[in-house]
Amino acid sequence: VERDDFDRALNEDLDRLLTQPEPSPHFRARVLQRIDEESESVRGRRWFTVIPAVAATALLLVGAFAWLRVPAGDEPIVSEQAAAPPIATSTRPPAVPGQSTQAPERRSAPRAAEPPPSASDVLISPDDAAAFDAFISSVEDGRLWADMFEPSDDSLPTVIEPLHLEPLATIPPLKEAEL
Amino acid sequence: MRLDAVAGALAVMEDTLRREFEARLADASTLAFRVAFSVLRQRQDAEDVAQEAFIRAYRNFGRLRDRDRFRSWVVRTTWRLALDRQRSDRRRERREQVVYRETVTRQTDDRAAALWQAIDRLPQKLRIVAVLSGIEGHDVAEVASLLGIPQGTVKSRLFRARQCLKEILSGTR
Repeated sequence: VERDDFDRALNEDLDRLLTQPEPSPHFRARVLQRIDEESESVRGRRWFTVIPAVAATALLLVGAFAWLRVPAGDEPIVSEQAAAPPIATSTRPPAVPGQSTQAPERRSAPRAAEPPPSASDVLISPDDAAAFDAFISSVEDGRLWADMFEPSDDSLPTVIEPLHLEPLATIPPLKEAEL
Repeated sequence: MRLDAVAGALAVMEDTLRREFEARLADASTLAFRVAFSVLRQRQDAEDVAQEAFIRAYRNFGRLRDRDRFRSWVVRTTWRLALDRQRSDRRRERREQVVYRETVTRQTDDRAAALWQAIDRLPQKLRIVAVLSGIEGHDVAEVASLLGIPQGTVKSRLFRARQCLKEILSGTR
């Protein structure tokens, strides 16, 4: 009974303490007013967050579209010449037939694991590359000029100048005394 | 889709959220205020804290997954904010050497002041259960729903809270 009396009295006191206070009549209006003020500022800042988000999304879409446009087989293939160290065009001497270079060693590298070359790659042999470099360096050094490679007029007959060979001068035999 | 269509859809969504929020505010404003008042004992401070809780609730309102638990979210946020406010007030009062209790006791009678002081001395878990039980008419199920804990836990905490209050008020503690 004593405990029930205490609980009852406590409940009454708690009710009196906790259920009496009421918020002021303008409480909700003030909350809504603050929300309106905040919404205005958020609305003003919205485009500062929306625009970067839209730009990032567009960038991702363009990247994904570009990635999907490239089929797996059309990925750029690095040719042997491109993968090899660059050939120095100015310091390398012209290729001489029969002279061994580093190129044949590269050519003998296994090719079985390499993907097939695509149409966009230009594959030339190392010898051709060396010859081309030699040609370029010759043009740069002035040892070759464009006129040298003007096409000749094939319609004219080829004239072969006759060779005039002078007879060898006769040398008198040496005498024994001169030996 | 044109930008004005997007803006219109956003406005409709915002308006819907706003109306829902106003309904929830009307439902929970008194509860939040009383929770804050039970901690702070100052009407203006309690309104400030409850208002701050509702502002935060509005910021998160669109992302609240279960909107029916809005009251629970607001109560817990209000309680936490009120405790933070009380701690900062007490620190400030200690600095300024102002006796906080005198303000309270001047405004209430002796019995109420003693009860408030006893409530303040309760551990946090028991204190919020006792306060919410008083606010919600001692409905254990409602208190359990607000705090997100089982009803059995509410009952045991309420029993221990009453025991503590009895000891404090009888001077044995």
